[in-house]
Amino acid sequence: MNTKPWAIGLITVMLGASLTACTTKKDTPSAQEVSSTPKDAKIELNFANWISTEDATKPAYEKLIAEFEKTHPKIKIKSVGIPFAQYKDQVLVSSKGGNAPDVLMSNQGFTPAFVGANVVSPLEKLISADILRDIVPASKNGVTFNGAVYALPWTPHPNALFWNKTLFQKAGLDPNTPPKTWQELLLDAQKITALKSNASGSPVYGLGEATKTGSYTGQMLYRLVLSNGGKLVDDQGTLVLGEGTALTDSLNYLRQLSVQKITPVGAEIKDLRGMFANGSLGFLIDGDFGRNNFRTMSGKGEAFDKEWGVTVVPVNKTGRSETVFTEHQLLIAKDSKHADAAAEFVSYLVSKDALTIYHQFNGVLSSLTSVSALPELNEDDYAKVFNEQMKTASAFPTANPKFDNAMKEASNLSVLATTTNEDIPSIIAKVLPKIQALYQK
Amino acid sequence: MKFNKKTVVQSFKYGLLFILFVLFMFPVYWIINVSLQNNAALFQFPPHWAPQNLFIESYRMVLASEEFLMFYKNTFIVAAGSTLLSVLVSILAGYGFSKFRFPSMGILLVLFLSTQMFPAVTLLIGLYTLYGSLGLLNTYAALILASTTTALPFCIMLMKTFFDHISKELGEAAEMDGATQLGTLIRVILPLSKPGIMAVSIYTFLVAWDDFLFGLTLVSDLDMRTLSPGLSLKFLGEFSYNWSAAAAAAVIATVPLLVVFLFLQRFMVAGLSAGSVKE
Repeated sequence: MNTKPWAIGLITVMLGASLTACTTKKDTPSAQEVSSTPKDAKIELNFANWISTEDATKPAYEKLIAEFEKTHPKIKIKSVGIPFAQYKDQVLVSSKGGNAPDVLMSNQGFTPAFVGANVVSPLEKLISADILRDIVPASKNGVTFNGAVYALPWTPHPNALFWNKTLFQKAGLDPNTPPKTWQELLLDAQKITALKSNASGSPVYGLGEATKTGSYTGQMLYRLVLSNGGKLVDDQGTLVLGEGTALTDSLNYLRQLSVQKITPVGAEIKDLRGMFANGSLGFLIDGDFGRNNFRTMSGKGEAFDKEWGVTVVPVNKTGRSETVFTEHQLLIAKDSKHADAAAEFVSYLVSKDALTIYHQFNGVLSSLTSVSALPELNEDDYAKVFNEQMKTASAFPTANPKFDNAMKEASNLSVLATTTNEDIPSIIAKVLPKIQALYQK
Repeated sequence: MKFNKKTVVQSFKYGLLFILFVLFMFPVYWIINVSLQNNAALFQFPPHWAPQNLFIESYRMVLASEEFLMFYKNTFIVAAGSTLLSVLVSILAGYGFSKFRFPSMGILLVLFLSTQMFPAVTLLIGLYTLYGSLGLLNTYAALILASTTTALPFCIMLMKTFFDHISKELGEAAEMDGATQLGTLIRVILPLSKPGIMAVSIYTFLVAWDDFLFGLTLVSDLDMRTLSPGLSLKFLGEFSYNWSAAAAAAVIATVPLLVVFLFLQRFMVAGLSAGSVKE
């Protein structure tokens, strides 16, 4: 092969590329440049988030920003889109590296780390007292650290019970009567599991519980512990996960699901969502974003809505519908040069106007009492179920900055209970000290 | 039926090669298989080993996405820029280490190599701060420099080894004829070093094309994102993954690498094996 033309071509392309590379992409001024611009000049706020790039939420994001910029002509929002899986680390790197975004989207897992790293501001002096008073109490607990509110809860995602009506019918169950108690749930799940396979020949499982190592699995174990009357920490923040029988009962329950093949072992929540969407899972406890996910993942769009129902999580030992809610939250960086503008933006995002738009696009709820009660956010049974579920949903006890690490460690309890024959007390004795080490004061 | 020893050994060798072939090719086959199924089919258990219904919508969606083409363009600019810079620096450094003897040369070489011993993630905050203070964040230059510094230690060692095996008399003859050091390098040594240069080019191109960490950290503007973090942003979401589209994008992203490697692999092999035989 004559290599000369190749070599010449390659060098030409590289030279061209490097010339292009030399043109640095700096069409937007830095925070320092903005702060030194005249008073009537536009302020640019960097908003770190993951919703601006995901296809499911991008249209809502664009509409929200367009509406805000229309009513706030002096503020321009610049999106800093970061993949969800790398979000926490990337925000910490940029904040510690002296380039903190002005406004940070967050969730219950990330916020403790941002507060612990001292990269965000308390909000009492930035956000109006009316808004702070309006936060749903359970949400407020989750964002209060040492008595100060550090994050403004935006959209809560309480976990409710989805059930597959088609599998219900095939199992001889009434497709319009979901279980009300934990015992009924287990019985129904056993009947669905007995179907063995669905119409396309895939194995059918009665109920999906996350059992793969990871923070989310730990959080779902916490949900089970709540329903068995337990807690992660007491009011002083001391770890009490191992006290009483709640943890043992929860792990025995997971073992039963695994031994009876009611749940697919080793699945993470994203797998379970896919399985529910393709009709191989009878029950799934998941958030309000489930509807959109199932429509997309099933490939059937809105037509798939007829194949499932949603209701509040059945009651167990506490006599009430115990569940947890994850939550999208908004924070303001400690180093923001435009804290007041950032506060305006954050206040807009939690307002009635913004939430109505967001709800229309993605069916989200509000963490403000006054907004969540609006008819616009309760327009159908789906929204009503989740607003109802929110009343008994618990926030994650995230005051400890190592909460996320603790949940990752706790997931090993679920993994060992579902993949080994080791007795449950031994598993607890093996894993619990590692969680206790994270909570030592 | 009799088998002689040679046949048995040959069969064993081919058997082993076949197993290795399957091990290496299975991920490639699987990603193509995933890219040709819709997401509902992908969550069926047991999985389908071949698409039941050929689904090319993911390819259409990816190719129609302006953002994907932008990620593609950015990645190409960064990979090409890094390759050019890396080749330039590694030729000069490799030649210097090969031709000249100077105090603490050994220490300097070890220092070059030691930069590869630190996991990049441990340097991230420091690098981010440094690039930030130089005003390089959100620029192609940042990504080119980062990929170049990742590839450079290996490239310098490779070029040094290559130059070590070019007869010194050639250079000395050129100098006796009046050529300068640089002239000798450009006119005499480099034409004999094509396999080494190609190997360095391909290696750096692959390093830059595959980079995830620097592309994720040093740029945050969507229109500056490269393929790896871009795909993560687009298809691996908070609540669900679009596996089919992610696999289709990965297939499309891999095609240029395959083409480059197919045409230039003999240089890569020649370059990497340079110095393996003692003369």
